[in-house]
Amino acid sequence: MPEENSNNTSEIRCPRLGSPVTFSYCETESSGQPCLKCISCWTPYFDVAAALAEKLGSENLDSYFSRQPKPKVVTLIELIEKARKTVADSKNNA
Amino acid sequence: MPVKIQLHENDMPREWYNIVADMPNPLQPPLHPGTFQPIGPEDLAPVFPMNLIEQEVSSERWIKIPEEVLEKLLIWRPTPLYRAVRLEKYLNCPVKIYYKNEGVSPAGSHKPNTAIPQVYYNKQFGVKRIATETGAGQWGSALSFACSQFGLEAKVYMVRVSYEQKPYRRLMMNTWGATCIPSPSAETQAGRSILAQDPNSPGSLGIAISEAVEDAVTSEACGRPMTRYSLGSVLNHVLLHQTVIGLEAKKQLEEVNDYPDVIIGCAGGGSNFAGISFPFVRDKIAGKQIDILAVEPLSCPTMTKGPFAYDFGDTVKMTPLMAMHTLGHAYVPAPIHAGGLRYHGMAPLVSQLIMDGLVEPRAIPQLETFSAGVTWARTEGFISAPETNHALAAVIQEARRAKEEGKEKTILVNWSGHGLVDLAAYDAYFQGKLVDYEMLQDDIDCSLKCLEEYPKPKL
Repeated sequence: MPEENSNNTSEIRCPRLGSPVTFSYCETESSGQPCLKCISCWTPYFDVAAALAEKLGSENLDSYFSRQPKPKVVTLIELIEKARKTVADSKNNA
Repeated sequence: MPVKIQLHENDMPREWYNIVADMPNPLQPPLHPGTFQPIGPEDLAPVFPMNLIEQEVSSERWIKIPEEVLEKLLIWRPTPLYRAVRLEKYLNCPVKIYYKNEGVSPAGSHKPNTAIPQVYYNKQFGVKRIATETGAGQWGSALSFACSQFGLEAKVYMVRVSYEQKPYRRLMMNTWGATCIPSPSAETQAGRSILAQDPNSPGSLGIAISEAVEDAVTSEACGRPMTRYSLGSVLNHVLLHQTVIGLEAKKQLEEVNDYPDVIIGCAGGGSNFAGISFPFVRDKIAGKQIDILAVEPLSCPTMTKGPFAYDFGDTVKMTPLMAMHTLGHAYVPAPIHAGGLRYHGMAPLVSQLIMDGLVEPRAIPQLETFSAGVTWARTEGFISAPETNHALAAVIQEARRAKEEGKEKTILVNWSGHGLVDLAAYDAYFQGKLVDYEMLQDDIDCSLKCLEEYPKPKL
């Protein structure tokens, strides 16, 4: 069973962070959406698929978890463009 | 028989080894989804100094280590090569086990091997300040240490949940003079937008990297000193810097007239695996008979279960086509298996070597890795980082295999870091809170059919 923290909320060790996290962290880890590892990490402890089906809709569950993370270099390029847009927007608003 | 094989400081490698020069097949570049043309290095110029980008795309076999970098690496390098005599005795198998102790660095892991040169090249380029993200703090602490050595300012965006729960790494960063703040923060637009939605957001690695990149890209426009971003894994130049590990190990083994039959490293982003193995992969390309194992958790089996193919990153085909170990973008899994298949941060260089048959991936369940870590601690004495335990589990597997086959073998493993700030994971193991699981092959086979219509990477 996962560990109980001081708020009586179960925690498991996140292999990406290296820290204990609650399910509420995992279900909102990706811009408010579940971490793609969420199901495999939590399934040993409870019916996480059912819980996420409530959040995403059962019809969206498979398509959401069938996505693949973007390669790191592609993520960086996207973030650069996003940051440049932030600068441009702030100049336009000034 | 020496337990520790020390290398004199004068014998430390003076060049990094770039495996790109010797790979039988060139690295498959990321492709733009619209043009299907390779993404160029100029796209990365806003976040990395050009001297590091030049290393990222270099095909020179040997790249000189600057004297200023060598001087800093000498703080803890050369690292000792140990003979694991106590584990050998415990296992009672016909093997010699050597391990390279990378836990002796100031930050306690292999990460400073690239943090030091990255900070140096940034300084050479005129950068005054470096921003990065960190989860539990291993990379953030390594970069903070390196910045302190070269007098650069370090800004670390640490995922808030780790910042609050694990103070020791951030205290290490503070001690080295870095500014470590919880992410999301109010200091970037990315952070502010998250906090506006949820002031109590625990953060995530995705948010933290967004903040660090924004910090670097907007620094000059916002009046901050010239800032660039730094990454501790995956990229080619990071793997290049780590090759000092394997180059030292080769010299140390020569001193005792030995050479490994099996080389083992754990593979998350791939940097510590690359560090120990790439100089030996070169020998394998030249004809040496060596087994080289990249070990990953069984819950993240991208290397072991998926073929190397061009694939989109999502079901709607919006991301670039990338050559990768993939299970198919249209994979519709049984929910229990889904998440583990998707974590796929392996370095492209390591993926390519697996495809070329030069590196063998191996997945090991977490209970077996912790069992190996405990065995290691009770024989060799050192308490390993949980990631390092994956490699140790493979060492024990290989030792027992040698006994079954009746063969004598020499095993070399990278002991990539200590676990002294990660003892909570051991606590969970001792209390029986960890569980193993595995995927269904039928689901995977079905999903791979979607890849048949896409171009094939050059083999």
